[in-house]
Amino acid sequence: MPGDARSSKGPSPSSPSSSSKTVSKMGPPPAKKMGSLSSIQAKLNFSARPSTGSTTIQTKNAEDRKKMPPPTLTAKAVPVVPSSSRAPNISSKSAPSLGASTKDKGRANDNLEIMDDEDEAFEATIKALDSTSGMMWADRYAPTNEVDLAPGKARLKKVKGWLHEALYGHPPNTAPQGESLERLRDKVRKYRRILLLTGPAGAGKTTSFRVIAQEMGLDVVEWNEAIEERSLGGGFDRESPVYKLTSFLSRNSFTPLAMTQSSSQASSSRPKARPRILLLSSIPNVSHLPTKEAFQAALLSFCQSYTSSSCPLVIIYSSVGSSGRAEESWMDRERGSTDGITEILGKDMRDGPWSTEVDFLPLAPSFAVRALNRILPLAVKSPSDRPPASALQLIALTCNGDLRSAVNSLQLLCSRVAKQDGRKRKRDDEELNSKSKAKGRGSQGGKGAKLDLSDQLRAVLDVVSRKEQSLNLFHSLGKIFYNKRVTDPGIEEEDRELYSFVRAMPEPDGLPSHLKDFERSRSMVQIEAFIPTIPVDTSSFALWVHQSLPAYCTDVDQVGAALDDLCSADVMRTEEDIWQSSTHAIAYALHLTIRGVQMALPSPVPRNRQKIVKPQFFESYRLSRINTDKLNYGAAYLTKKAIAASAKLAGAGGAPSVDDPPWGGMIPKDVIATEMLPMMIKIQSASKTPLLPSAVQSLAMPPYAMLTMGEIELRANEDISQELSELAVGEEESEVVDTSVWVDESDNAPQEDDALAGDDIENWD
Amino acid sequence: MSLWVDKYRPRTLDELHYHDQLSARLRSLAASGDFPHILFYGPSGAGKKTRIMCTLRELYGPGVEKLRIDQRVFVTPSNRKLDVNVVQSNYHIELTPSDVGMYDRVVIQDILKEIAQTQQVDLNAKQRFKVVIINEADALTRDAQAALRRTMEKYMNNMRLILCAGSTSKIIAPIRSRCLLVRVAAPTDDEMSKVLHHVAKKERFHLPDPASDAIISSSSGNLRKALLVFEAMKMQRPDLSGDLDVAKPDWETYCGKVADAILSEQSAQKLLEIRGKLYELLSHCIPPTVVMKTISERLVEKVDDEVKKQIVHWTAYYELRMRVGSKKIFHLEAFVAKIMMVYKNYTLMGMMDDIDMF
Repeated sequence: MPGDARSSKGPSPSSPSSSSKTVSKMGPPPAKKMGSLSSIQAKLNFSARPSTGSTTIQTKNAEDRKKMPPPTLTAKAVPVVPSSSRAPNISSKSAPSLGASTKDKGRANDNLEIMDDEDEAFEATIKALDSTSGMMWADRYAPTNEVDLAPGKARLKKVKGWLHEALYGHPPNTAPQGESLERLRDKVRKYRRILLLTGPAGAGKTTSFRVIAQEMGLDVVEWNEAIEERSLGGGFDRESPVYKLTSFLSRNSFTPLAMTQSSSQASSSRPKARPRILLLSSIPNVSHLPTKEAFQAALLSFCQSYTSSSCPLVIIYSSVGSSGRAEESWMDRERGSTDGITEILGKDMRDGPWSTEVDFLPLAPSFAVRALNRILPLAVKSPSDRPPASALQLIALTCNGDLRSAVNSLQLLCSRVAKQDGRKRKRDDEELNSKSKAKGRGSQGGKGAKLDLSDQLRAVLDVVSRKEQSLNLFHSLGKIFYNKRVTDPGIEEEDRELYSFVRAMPEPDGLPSHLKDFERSRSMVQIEAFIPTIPVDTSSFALWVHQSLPAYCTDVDQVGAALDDLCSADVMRTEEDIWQSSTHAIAYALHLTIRGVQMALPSPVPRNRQKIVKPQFFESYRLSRINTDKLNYGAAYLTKKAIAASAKLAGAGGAPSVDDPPWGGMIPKDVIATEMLPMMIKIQSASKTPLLPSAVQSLAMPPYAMLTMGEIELRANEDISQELSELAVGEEESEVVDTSVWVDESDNAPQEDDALAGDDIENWD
Repeated sequence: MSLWVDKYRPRTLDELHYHDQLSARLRSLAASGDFPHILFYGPSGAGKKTRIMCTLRELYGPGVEKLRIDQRVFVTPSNRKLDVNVVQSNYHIELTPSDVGMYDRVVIQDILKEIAQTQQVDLNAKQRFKVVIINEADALTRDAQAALRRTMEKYMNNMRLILCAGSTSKIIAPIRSRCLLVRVAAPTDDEMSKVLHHVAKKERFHLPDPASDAIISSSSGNLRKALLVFEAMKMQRPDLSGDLDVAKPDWETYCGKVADAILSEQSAQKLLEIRGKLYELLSHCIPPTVVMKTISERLVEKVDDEVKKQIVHWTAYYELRMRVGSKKIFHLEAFVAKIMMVYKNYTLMGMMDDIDMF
């Protein structure tokens, strides 16, 4: 039996019953995880394998075949994915006795027969394609050392540094001298209580943490909400999850007793026992208010009850909004990403000094490609079976920074690629090469067109990723901005078909003479067909259109007309009643956006290498939120100061003093933003006496310069594909851009950094 | 160091510099022992708050200046928590319910009930009632105003309301009729100059007339702004003489330059440039309506009479849409584009009459 070899590899249909235990252990989780994917995969796998099964039937049971239904059907009845534990059991038991009597038995036995016969074939298939071994690649080929981790080095270093500080009281590689170590250790560790790893799903939060923890030799204790504790009296313990969490935190927040001693004795050297770290990867249902309060209280008490032997906590939280998805409006995305975790942890935690947040960004495509390239040779042994590099790139681009989904897509893709025999693949490759040459400029637009992909592969990828559409954002924007009409001179090759189609439609009646201004020749954009291909929601689409619009206009009248329609569309669905407004309103708004802009644009649009640029809106919105926080902080500061002064004044028994002005009442926010703060910043800079806390200083406007087009032009010069990847994925580099926005402002307030540095950690005691 | 605008704020009704008749009336009201609910209204920076605080001092004496700040937590019916900052003394409580937006009704109901149901415990207090100051009363929702109306009738014994609003137009009639309406008009130029000179005297320097005139004309009846500008100017140029450069807030300068840019060139390219500026203003928390208003005012100053009407018309048109819409930048920019179109057409027409314009 070849079973021994397989048992280590994972489940296989004919494993002896001894190995069925491991099979059943490994079986269910992947099946559960795969969810909707599994159904597709099952189909694809099915078409890959049973073909081998049916050949065996043909040879052995040729006679039988005449009475039997087609074997494909029976093969389908057999669980295709070998992760099921039932099949091997039966087959191993029944195989010897049933072997001869198959003919008399019904269909059920035939199943078994097939299973039995298939063994060898399966063995071969499994060897050829590891993909069928019932485990998601994302888990199976998860990185095991730090080098292989996909997220950026800076973040990993941050996580590592934090863990090190939290456990040993000093950053890695700097061993402080014996004397100060003792003193410093508790001081640092006291404020390294909670590490938040946030970021979208599939950004590598959990994997990174686990790998780092493993490399550092940490003992990770994980809390899992799903654990039902059985109480002694039988039956389930019905205490609430939060209560369990609270007790978990209090139970585990200290290292085991033996280690406590060793760590306190071995003062400067590393403790010998494995340091313990708590991990919270699922968070209780915080939409329930009492639960949330209890959760926050538990965390707070965890933070406050520090002793030198308590261990830190790591919370992993997938932020809700994944970037670039069409279903979410930008508002949700903005709110989901930043407010989410602080909202959950509560104000005390956020303002307190105990927690540090490391925000994982969605993976940049280049990072994702690297990760996929690492996995591929491990998963698919023979180079000829591997999908082309362009496919990897496409997967990486379409995964929206979600590496897990990218790996899943890759797995699914490989399960299909492997089926095709080599010759056919070669032909495909040739075909696509010639095709891509013939194509010249990518008629498909967007990034996908640049990659060499056969139509077939593209179709597979379409099924696999379901996100292929999102490549078309630039394509759809281009369609609008180029505003092609039938009368345009020089119809391009790619448009021929569409052109004749539009041409064939009946000519509309001309407009009366007083409306001649509104007459346009027929548009090449078939709006009904066009709308479903728009990859983003109406609101974001309007923003994209708005940003690049002026570049395509020759006259301000055109911009004005188009903007008017954008405004009308904007009014249809407003921020306040985004949930109340009818879904039709969204459709109307989209129609108005498209038609209005097409009406307003010149025809033909002059082409002078205009570029589509990313809306400034998001950046501006983000900044305004930051500034609103600062403003609130400034307002609170002013109020507090005024009240303190007023109270002093009252205490002085009415004797007027110079520095204690009377209370003038609460000042409205708008007045603070438009009058108080700007003027106070001016007065302060002229008089050189501080009036405002340093955090508020940056509210000062940068000097007005007519040439602040820098950012736009910079982006406009970038390759369009670069833009796209930025839309889909917040790259590591985009952080650099963010900070550069702030440079000119923070220049105005050089004391800010000093003040922050001056915020002594001891203030919190 | 404290700002002049705080430092020289009058503490008693006697110290007030203008609206003497009003001060006298408030004084007699406070003395009568029959103090009504009052609604103070008037433009920003006219001295409503100052008068309210002076009246309170008249009512309760200096004890009302002993303040503390509390953060109250209110829970909405939907179990959402609201944090509201409340400033209070033993005799009064001050809050801005409109900070919490659509939930202001909850805040109003809870606070008022709480105040109204507790008797004055301080036996030495001059008045049996407590005062509740509600800021930005014109920003209250209709629900909140309706809630206010019921409580005003119900708890008259223990509590008086002082509302503070920009105008009465957004306050429902039942409340208006239950309050004594007190209008605090913006100070006239003379009154402002009196205040400025008073401050200058206290600070022991001489304020030259051109400087005072420049400040007054730039602050359009807003005394708070005038004092802030005054202080900034004094700091920047201690002698306050010569070529005066009124220290305006940066964003105002910004808006002015945007207006100039609109008039200087009407093209799609210029519009893009202006868009950057508009984004800059918005991201610095300058309310979009204020931006539009300031730009429009500046434009009206600069153009010929025929265009003025158009500009005002389109400002009003786009401001209305902006209030309804969600992406303010669209409306601001559409406004700018419209003005450009109007102005361009006007100059083109002008060109027919007078070729020398170009």
